[in-house]
Amino acid sequence: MGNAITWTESPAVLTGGRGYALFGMEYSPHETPRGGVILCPPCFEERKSSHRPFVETARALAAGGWHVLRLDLTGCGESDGTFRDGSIGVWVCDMERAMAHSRKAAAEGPLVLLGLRLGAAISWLAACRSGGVDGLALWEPVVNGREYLEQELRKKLARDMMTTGRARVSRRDLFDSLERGEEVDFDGYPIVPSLYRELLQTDILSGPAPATRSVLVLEIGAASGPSQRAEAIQKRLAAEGRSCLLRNVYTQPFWNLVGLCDIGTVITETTSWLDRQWPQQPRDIVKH
Amino acid sequence: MTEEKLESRLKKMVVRRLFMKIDPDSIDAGKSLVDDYGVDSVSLLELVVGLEEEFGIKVEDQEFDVNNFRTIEALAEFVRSKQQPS
Repeated sequence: MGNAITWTESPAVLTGGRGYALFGMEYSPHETPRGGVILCPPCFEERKSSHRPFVETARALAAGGWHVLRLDLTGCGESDGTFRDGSIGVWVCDMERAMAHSRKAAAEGPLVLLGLRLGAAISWLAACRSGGVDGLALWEPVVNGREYLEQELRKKLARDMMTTGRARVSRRDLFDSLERGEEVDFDGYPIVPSLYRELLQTDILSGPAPATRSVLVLEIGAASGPSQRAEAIQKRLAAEGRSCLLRNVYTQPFWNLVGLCDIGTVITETTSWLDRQWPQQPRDIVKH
Repeated sequence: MTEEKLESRLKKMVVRRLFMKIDPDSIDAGKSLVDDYGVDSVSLLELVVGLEEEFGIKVEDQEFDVNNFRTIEALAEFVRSKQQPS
């Protein structure tokens, strides 16, 4: 006796915020799902590096009885459009379309959004705008768009240093270029002026908090305790009487890696949180 | 802090931050972090953040110079120079 469930993986095509086709993979349990989980990926190279971990996460959740939709946002991955077609607004709208899709599949169960890095911020914004989201799992969330850009541009400096011995430009130079309305190449992805301006305006703590039953903030890396960012999220939610669990896992930041990484503890923390919030009914195990 | 203690702290920080599966004391302070210990651009950024968080210094953009990060000895010299009152 146990609790594993068989499921089916199948492609799903939705219409995204800009009207382009959105590609996703659906993981559908062969029985009434406990609820629905939508996986919202990060951007740039982080999306590629997190592909495999997201597949593993989707399968683990499906084995626990959840209907899962693993989404590619407009202009990213298999979805239509180029990266220039994407924007925070379009990606939030993509998530809203995905939520409408998953609500039908999740039957009467809860709807949970799980996002990584910028995908966590997009999930938060989508939950605020649409409502009807029961849980949010934020993996290493981006809180402030400007800080995020600073971090991303620092990656560019580090790469410069590795290839030429020292950084050839400063972040100030890159921000000046963006302020002048020029594109800045980042890992082969264009940061266009409109996305730059949207990122500058993005601060998930400055707006409303999502009306969710529970939020998990999972910080992934070498730190042993919560960051100020995580504590700020918790404080923001507590101010509105909502619960927020902060957890740290000592796992490599897999969204920055090229090779494989064991994310077992990341998945376990997440499924444990889900199980506490929405307990699974006992059932027989059948291996997929 | 003595040079030895600073280097020891840096070795521990490098091993923990970069998820290396080696004894910190086994790191040769004079050997290349890139060529001998597999540090890449992503892990270099982790080192920068580690220096800022654990040693209370701020790494400026113009200090993204491989000479500052080449070895544990170079890192120690960089940290010490940043910690000296100007």
